Amino acid sequence: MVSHNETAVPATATPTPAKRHPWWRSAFWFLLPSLVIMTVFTYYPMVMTVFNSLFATNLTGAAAKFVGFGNYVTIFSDPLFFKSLTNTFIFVACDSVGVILLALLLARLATARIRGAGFFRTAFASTMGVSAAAASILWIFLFNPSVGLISIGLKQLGFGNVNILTDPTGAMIAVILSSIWMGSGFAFLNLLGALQSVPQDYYDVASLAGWSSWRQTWKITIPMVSPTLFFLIVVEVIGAFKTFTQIDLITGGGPDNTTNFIAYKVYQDAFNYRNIGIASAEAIVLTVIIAVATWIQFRYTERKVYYQ
Amino acid sequence: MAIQLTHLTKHFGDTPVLDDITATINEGEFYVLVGPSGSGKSTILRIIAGLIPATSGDIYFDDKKVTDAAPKDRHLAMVFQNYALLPFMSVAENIRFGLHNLHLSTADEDARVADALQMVHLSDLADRKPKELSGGQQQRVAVARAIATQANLVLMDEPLSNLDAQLRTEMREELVELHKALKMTLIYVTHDQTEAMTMGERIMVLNDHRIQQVGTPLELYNHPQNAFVATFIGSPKMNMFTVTVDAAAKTITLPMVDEDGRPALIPLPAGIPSGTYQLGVRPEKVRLSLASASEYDVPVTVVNVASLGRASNVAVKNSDVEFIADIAEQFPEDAAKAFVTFPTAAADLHFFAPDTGLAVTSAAEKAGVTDGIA
Repeated sequence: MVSHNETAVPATATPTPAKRHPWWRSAFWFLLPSLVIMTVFTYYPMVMTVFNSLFATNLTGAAAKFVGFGNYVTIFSDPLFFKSLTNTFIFVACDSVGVILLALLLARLATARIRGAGFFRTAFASTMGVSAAAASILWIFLFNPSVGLISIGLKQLGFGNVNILTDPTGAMIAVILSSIWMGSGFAFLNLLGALQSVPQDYYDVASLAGWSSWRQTWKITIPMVSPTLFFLIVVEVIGAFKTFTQIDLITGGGPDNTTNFIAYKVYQDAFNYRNIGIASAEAIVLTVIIAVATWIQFRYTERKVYYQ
Repeated sequence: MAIQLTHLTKHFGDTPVLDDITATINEGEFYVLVGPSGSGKSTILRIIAGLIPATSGDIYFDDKKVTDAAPKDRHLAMVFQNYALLPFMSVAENIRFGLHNLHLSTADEDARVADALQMVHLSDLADRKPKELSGGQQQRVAVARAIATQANLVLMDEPLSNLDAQLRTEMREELVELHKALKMTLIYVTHDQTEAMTMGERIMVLNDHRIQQVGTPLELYNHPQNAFVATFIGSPKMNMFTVTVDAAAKTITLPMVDEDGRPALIPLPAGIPSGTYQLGVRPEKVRLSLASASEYDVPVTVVNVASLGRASNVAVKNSDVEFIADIAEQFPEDAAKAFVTFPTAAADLHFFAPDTGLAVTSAAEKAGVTDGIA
């Protein structure tokens, strides 16, 4: 038999603690590059936004006069601000629900054991690799009143000549559709991974016990993927609140500000009207709304989430 | 419920998984499917459950053909290796989960859950979540879910593989007792031959997608029909030697040398025709001594002594042939040389054809074996 040598432990394998550098010294150097980048591009702008929101600013964007909460009073008495708030809330609700439902459906289809499922997996996930700008251009073509596939399709269905992007409701639907399409790839990929990690045994037991596939989905699949669903809802809602590119490229906030969302209004006030103080105050309001929305989700939705 | 499998085959694409499986499992039998990984035993279980379809062949429950019946219409219960307990449901809810098909009243369901939990000694833990239980307790819950259905047929797919050795031994006994009490037909899949031997009333040994042999544990042990069953059943496994039989001289030539460097011979006890064979000898039939006592003893060098306390498994070697002697006593761990005495009874020498691996038996071998203590 092999006998274990129990005395062969080297006596001085590690240097004594006194000779080592303090742990934080090397940690500091490793963290420094990202600290610099974060400071320049995130922390400093954050602080400056709060600062600017309390000032009237001149055309160069520099703080000119302290106005306290004056900017906030101004934006909350601006009907356009409320309109963009309402638009944003409608969009966030439709977009995040739409993205998650579509992604769930696609992920469920892609886990079916059929020939060619691999192709669809790649196809469904591929919207993740398309930039919002490129995707917006693509959708502008689709909605084009004379050559767009969607417009032609609607005409064939008997809706006549519709210019979706100049119709108030149509423009909102167009923005929502294109955003759902853009967001579905990321959500799909996450849900696919979650679905594939649900053990087949659960479904075997369920089918022996006579559970319908609908019941299996609600009682097994949804609870098992609930951590992923919760993560996606939080991320999608935050992302939807910040939607900008599609608006800027597809509708420009129009027609008649029906697709003007807060993030877009911040941009307009800051760079079109050169009113940095007002824009900063709006940005702060948006941040607070996102924070509250996220807090509500953690407070009320997370309780239904099952973590393994 | 009696189960009949007729000419079951299964292919996954071009890959064969099962080849012509025909078997009858009796009502109330504890029937074990045993074989190495990939032998197809779990596939048989899943086909019986209806979770996957067979490529061809039929399944009968009693005399009813169920080949195409949906899983829920087969009225059976199944226990999985990973227990398949839903993590967000309590123990009681997990057991109730299996009762859905039976359309019981809530009161009846509660009674079934309580009874099942009592049978597996977990009544106190009904409201716990699976992750708050130990592996053994989770395994009991999985068993409770199966017995709560009161199905006449219960399938178990390696239910004890995830437990540690001691717990596994305990659960083996409990499952056997549970089967005695409930008398359902139980089909049990395992890769562990010890589990098969200790639990099964009858065992089907599978290898290479085919049935190798079906029989009681002792039939398999004493009369292996081929070299695979001979080496698969029994631990430590049967020693195999390539030997030459001389029927006229009544000798077996071993692939070893005696003390004078000549080929080692042992007497041939029964009527086997001359030729080359695989000779199988159980390790416990190989006797080991420090001094030579007979002209047929073979000198060996001791390679390794595994002391179990009550017995020793001694690995020995002669002419590059290494084999195991399982002796029922403590063997000196520092011994370098010893002498092996091979058995002379026909029942202890298992001959297999070198090409097919099939057993070559003599009348004397059959007659010489008694099942257990005669």
